[in-house]
Amino acid sequence: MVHAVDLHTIFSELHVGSLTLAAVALIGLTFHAIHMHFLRGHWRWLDRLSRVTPRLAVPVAHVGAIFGLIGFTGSIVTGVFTWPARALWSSHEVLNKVMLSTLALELWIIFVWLRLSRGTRVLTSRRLLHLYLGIGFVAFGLTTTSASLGGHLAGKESLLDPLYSAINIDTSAPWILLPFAWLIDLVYRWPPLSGLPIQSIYRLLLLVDLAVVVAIVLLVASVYRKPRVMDVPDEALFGEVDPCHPDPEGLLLE
Amino acid sequence: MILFVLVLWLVGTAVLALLAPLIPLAPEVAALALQTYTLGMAALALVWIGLKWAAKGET
Repeated sequence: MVHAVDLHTIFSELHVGSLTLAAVALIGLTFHAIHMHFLRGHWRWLDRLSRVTPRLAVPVAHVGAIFGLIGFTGSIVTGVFTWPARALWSSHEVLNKVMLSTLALELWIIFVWLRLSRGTRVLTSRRLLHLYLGIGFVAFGLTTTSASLGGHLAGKESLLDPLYSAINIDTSAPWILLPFAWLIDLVYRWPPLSGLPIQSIYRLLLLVDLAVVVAIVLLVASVYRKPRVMDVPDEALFGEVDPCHPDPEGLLLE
Repeated sequence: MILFVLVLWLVGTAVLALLAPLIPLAPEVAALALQTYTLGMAALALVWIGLKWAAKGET
């Protein structure tokens, strides 16, 4: 029988490997960007290398990120089954790892979406390329830190340990910023909350959640709306325009 | 879009903050959940601003 621990290991290896491949491709793209800005035309062999790099690096980064996302999702699902819930929520290191993994997952999804929605413009537009590289590198940094905490949880050392000790970071302490600690402290000590009936609060929250879901659906629907009349070419609306009778039905006069 | 993210963040924060003591979640878990949610929304807003900036550079 296959255990969740084994699957978790497989998915972890898959997503870390794939995302590392994507990051290596991003380093290639960074070289291309630097070359285009500063070194263009100086050395012929470097120009040739820079021309070839994006052709390989962009698809590799894209495919690596997609496989990484699949592995990431599988790793999260199997990770939840690997440890009991109490063990998950009682360790600060696990909580830090969950936070980093969630943010990394979000950024990798945006990374893939950016390539899918903007296509080759991520290469041709200088600013879009910078944004693409920035998102990719931040996502990879978060993934690496999260994987490093995973190494600690497995009872092993991490390559990032010297860095943590150099900048005085304790991975076993909760990484909570002060405003959030203050807000939660305020809520937990708020007297009116303890007096309210729990059932009605739950109903209210469900209604708010429902409203949020409806708002998200409306937003997505508005983004992927049907083309407006202004977006449709004239030929599609009116057919071929007859040069002798350009406006037979008087549409343009209206 | 920024306004939408802001409203979504405010609603989500209120829901999380109210829900946390009722479940009940441990305070550090609730604070980390709130922080993750806020940072996630901030990342979304930053990407949106970045896309606007990139679009401005193309014209």
